[in-house]
Amino acid sequence: MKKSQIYLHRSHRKLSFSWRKLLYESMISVPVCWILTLLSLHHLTRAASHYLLRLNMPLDINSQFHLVETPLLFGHIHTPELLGKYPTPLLTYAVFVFSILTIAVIPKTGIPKPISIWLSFVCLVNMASALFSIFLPDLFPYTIQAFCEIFLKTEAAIWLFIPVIMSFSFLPLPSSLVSKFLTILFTLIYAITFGLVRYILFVLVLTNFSYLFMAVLFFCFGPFIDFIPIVGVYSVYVSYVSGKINRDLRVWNWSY
Amino acid sequence: MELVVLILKIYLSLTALVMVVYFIRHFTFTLNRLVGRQRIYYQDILDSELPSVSVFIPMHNEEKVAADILDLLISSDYPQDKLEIIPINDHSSDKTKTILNRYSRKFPLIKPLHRSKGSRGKPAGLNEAIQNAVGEIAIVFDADYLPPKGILRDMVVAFKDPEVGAMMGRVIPKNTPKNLLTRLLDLERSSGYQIDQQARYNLRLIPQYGGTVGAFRRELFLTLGGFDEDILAEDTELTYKLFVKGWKVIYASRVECYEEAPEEWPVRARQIKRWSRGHSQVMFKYFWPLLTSSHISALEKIDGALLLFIYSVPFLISLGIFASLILFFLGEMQLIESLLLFLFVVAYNTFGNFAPFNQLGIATLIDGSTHRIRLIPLIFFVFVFNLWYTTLGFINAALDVLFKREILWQKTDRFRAVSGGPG
Repeated sequence: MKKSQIYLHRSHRKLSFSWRKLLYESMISVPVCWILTLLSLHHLTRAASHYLLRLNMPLDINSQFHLVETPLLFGHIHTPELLGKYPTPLLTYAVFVFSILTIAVIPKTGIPKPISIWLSFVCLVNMASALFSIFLPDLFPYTIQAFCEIFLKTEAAIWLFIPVIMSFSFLPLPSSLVSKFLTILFTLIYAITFGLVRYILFVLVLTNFSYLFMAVLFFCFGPFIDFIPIVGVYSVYVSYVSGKINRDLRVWNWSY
Repeated sequence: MELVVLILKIYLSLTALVMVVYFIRHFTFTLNRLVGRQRIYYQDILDSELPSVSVFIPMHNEEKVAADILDLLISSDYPQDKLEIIPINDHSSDKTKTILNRYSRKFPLIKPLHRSKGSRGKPAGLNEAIQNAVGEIAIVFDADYLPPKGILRDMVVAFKDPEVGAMMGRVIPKNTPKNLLTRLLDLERSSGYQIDQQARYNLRLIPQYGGTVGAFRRELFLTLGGFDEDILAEDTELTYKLFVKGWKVIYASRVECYEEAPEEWPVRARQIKRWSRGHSQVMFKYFWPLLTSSHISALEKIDGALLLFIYSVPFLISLGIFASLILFFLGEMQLIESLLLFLFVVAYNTFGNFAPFNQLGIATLIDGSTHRIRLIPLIFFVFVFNLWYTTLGFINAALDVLFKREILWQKTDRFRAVSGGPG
């Protein structure tokens, strides 16, 4: 078949690049996102923590006095002083037995291996938590407030790194600064929302069910999965750029 | 107890630092491949004086794929008087032997080696076959590969350069659209070849001979003592053996060959466990020779060490997760309130994982696979899967070294329907 146009072979295609442009664009994206994050951190954590207090103590009109203010970088975060539930022996043993059974049975089911390994990891963490509650029930080292502080600080660190890492990933791509900046901003807003929603859900689990699930919430559904939506936005954007430049010979260079 | 906490914190910090180093490495390679000066291969050299070539195809129960690769090699444009094709029938119990004999009767340049005694496995089979071959250049294809017509000529031209000991082409899955696993493996292959191998070649570091779609000087190979039959990653072993002795391995991105990627997770699990075990065996054997070799530059040593340790990183991460869990129950998570906050985040959360994702995205962008890029978030599950099986492979390799265990070669299952034979 006769081709109307011969495209550059994929083996040595490359894009043009300028360090100056990268630095110049980063200097716009990163500080703007950082300032927005740092300015909103105080308000967002206060609002989320206040909401949690109202959910858990609806009759307490002075609930704002149960918020703890902790310094973080140039601002503060707010965490609620709430009482969680210690697990009953029945719940502890049930979680322990269920976790062991799941770990034993799951490889024999038809569940694809990547998912079964992930589920086994979740059960393993729950099992460790149950064992701790069985043997050292009085030594559980966290309060809800301490958990909230650890979780929010880790999340805040991730939010601050999003603009840095995405700038470096996006900026060499041949697309407009505006589209890159908006994508980074969208990712940041999404990550903050995703983080705060999980924060509220986690605290509700700990206050309404049990401390037993604190470890699994932090290790399996906490910062560990933050990258999924971030990578999701990243992949959609790169796919959009790829579609745009795929047939444009002017964008691609060859080897040198 | 305080000592335990201190040790765990130091361990976590060191693991996080290792992750930062690999994170920088991924970004450097990605940027180099996307926008850096590319070093091209020798495919534009035309030479009428072609060397004699022996093509080796290790086979163990390969009745499903044997005929396809032989048909394609027979129709190669390489002069037949300078070519011999040696399929190595390694203890097969299916119809592989019958198929090979049928081909050898029809095409004299096909000279099968039937092995039914001695140790089984790719390194042992290749050692025996290469000793009895005559070609100046040895080329190796796995049995499921589909070499295009001009590939042999493209491969051997690298050896016009007297410094080159081995070359490696690019592997591309043919069955990519089959299912989610094959699509994800295509992403991984793309990243490994389009970015990793090409960037190492560009930066004059350590491109890897990959054991298939690869070639090396036969006499040199024999002089170096052949493959260590106790090592499961004979390709990585040859790479380091050559570099330590002052030879170069080069990467040819333009020399592409299709393969059949695993279509089932258990098959992929066995494959990755074998790679991890073999690669780690090489790490134990070649780390010191790499550091002390006078033929290797400082940058090559750094890259070579990072490459050697790459399959031990999942083991370090797994231990790190375990250490984090212990610290959590000891109430010592204040770890992340200090400077270590940064390292913790990089190691276990978003960005320790983001650098490889960026590499995947850019590799697929260069390849032009626009829609496949959107599958990248699903690599999360592959990350968990790889973490587990690579860790198992690493532990096996450590036990091999400690207890001098016997190695059993496990071949990768094939999924293609049985093909025909010579007409």
